[in-house]
Amino acid sequence: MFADGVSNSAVIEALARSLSLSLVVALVSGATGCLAAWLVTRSDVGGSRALAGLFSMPYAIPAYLLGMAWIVLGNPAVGAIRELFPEGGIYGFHGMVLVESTVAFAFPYLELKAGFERMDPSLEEAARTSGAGPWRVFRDVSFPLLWPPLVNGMCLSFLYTLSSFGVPAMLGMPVRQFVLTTLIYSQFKLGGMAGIWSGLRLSLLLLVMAMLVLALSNRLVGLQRRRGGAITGSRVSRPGLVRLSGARVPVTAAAWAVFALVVALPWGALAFSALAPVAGSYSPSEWTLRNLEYVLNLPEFREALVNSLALSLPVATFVVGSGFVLAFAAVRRGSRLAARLVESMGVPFSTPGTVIAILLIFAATWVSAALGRVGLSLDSPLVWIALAYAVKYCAVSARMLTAAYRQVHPSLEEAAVVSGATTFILLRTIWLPLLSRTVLAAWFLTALPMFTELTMSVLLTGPGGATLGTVLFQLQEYADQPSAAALAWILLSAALVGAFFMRGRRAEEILEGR
Amino acid sequence: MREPLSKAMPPDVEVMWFQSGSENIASKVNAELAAGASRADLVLTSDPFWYYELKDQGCLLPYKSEAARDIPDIYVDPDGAYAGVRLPVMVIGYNPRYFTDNSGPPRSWKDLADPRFKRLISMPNPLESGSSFTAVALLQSRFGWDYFERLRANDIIAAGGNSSVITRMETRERPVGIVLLENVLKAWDKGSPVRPVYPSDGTIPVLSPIAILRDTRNPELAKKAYDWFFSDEAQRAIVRGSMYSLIESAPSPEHSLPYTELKKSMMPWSAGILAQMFAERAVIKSKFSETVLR
Repeated sequence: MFADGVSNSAVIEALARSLSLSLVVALVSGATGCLAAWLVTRSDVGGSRALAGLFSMPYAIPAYLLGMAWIVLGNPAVGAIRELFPEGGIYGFHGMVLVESTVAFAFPYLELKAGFERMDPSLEEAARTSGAGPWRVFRDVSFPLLWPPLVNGMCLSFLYTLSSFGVPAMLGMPVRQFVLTTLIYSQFKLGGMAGIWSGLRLSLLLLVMAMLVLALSNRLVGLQRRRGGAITGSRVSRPGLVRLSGARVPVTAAAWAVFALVVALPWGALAFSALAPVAGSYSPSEWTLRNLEYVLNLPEFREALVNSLALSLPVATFVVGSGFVLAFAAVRRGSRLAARLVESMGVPFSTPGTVIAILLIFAATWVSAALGRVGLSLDSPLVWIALAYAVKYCAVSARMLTAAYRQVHPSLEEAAVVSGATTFILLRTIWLPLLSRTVLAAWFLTALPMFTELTMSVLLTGPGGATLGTVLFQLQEYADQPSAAALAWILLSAALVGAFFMRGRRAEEILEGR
Repeated sequence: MREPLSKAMPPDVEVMWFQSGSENIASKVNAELAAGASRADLVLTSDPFWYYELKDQGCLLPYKSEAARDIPDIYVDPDGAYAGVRLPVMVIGYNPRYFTDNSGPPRSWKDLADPRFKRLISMPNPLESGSSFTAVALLQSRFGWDYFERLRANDIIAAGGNSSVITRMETRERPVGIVLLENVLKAWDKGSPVRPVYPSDGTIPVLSPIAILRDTRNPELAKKAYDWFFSDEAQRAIVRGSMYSLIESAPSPEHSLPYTELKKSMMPWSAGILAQMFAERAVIKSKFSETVLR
């Protein structure tokens, strides 16, 4: 019924696995993201400034490379921490939950971190002064205000997992655990147009699931909106931090241990793999810089670095910029059109990259044929890659910014409008500074996956269109795992350096025009 | 190969080159063809079935090149739609560091079904890799689906491409693999412990043809490039890339079994076999999915 060559029970099994995986990942990310955001913004946990930046790092690693790193760690034969896993090692549902959560965790975490920072801490302080404990303050004051970004973050985690392909392919397929995206991929690979149609039909099923989740989250957030927002400001005094007192040392240790688990461990695994002469030979006496040298001297690497920067930076800026204006129109001007646009962005976000790429190849061929008739040509594959990135990732910033606008009470804006401010001045002098942290977080969450995108780039690329993702694919397929690990390690290290600079206030000051 | 090809072409011609996996190239070109026209002039991949399908749909430009005269007839399309330009072969690979006791590695395809190799074997997913599909098609016609049921009982992993099989062997996660010889030889060259076994019941040939697309905007230049791939220079580059040349006089890749030896134990290949496997392609793929992937 659903697809050729696959029994209905196999489709239903994959559907059930997709939904349960996405749900578990959303719950795990929501809980840990909430806790982590509270720790770094509201408690005196040791090294909170450093942790704040570092916690969002797993998101900077393309999920399939994270999968690669975890396979090195949890390899049932030689993995360094294989004893922590069941007999089959990292493969299976538990492995998919672990690796997907380390990435998807970033959505609720960054949303809530921005939310806490935007929220006037005097509300919490008032509660605390009246004798409420940290849990009570969170439950009765912070949580009711942070409900929209939390739901939205978990919703993004859910959709991200639902449409993700790399991790289920690496950790699920070897042990015959299919999810919808890997089943769609298999259908595409059955060959011929019949397989493509069958795959597209399954994508529709995926899309229906995504729409249901989107509708549900919109309802939840809508309910919250009727209860009204809270007055917040960006120049509020530094919040009085909750003293963890006796628990400070163990909590700090636990926070850093989590960081070590989700970032340092994969980083180290990739470094070990990059230094190994061949996969599986991890003894320090055999270490070699050959793989790193090979990658750095690869002509395609430089071409790809330039292309990926030229793609991700402007496309992310454009996407976040238009999301900022669109969310303003949807929330503050009550534009139904803008609201519908923001909602519909959830569709490409929850569509597997393979499907988007196939549809864009159709579009590209039609457009170049039409252009050819009027004597024009559109030869660069980069144009189509840029479009694919914009379409796939526009939902993140638009949804984050919509939630952020909703969280802020409109009194400031109303004051400005009374004083005669135009829309442009409103956006520039009130909303941009107020939402600067969310804008930054959204830009970060948009640009990073573009920088290392693989699934769509591999299909859309052509002569002159190498990106870091396609070079990684080349290395993985035609060179060897250590060379691919070397490039992965370089990218991850670069992302870590980037996060270090993001950590300070400088970027915000630039956005606020100071 | 990019540079020597550019040099062999007229000086004002720029060769645009796009390299990726067989399946990615097929997906891209198929989608372009379905929407009207492909931008490619020539295609060269290791998925013979794709060429068969393209020819079937009338997408290839027939060209009986004089340059391909030394290629054995069984590897050339009688209508000149495509011709084999190199010969990858599927063999058994293994990691000798795993087999340190008396139990040696498998010697034949039959051995892989022995319970002795339970949880030791991986192979590329035939839905993703054309070379792996050829192996499945030839093995099932020789041993029947019963053979794959026994591989399934041995908990074989069928996932990813040939390079993931190499990685699984190197890390000893799965020390035995059904894999392309060229991947084993390249790994050997880089110091990997992985070694090939030429199965006694026959190595598996995977024809890797070249063809010109019918709608090419430069048919004459495309033919010139087509011819170049059969030149000594191009064939030497193919051998350096660890694949066999189909021209008998050409050398064999380093570390490999000489072509004359290999030929003696190779599973038979013919246009008829290709046609039959193509006709049964969908059945073979879904049967494999049911037997091994579920």
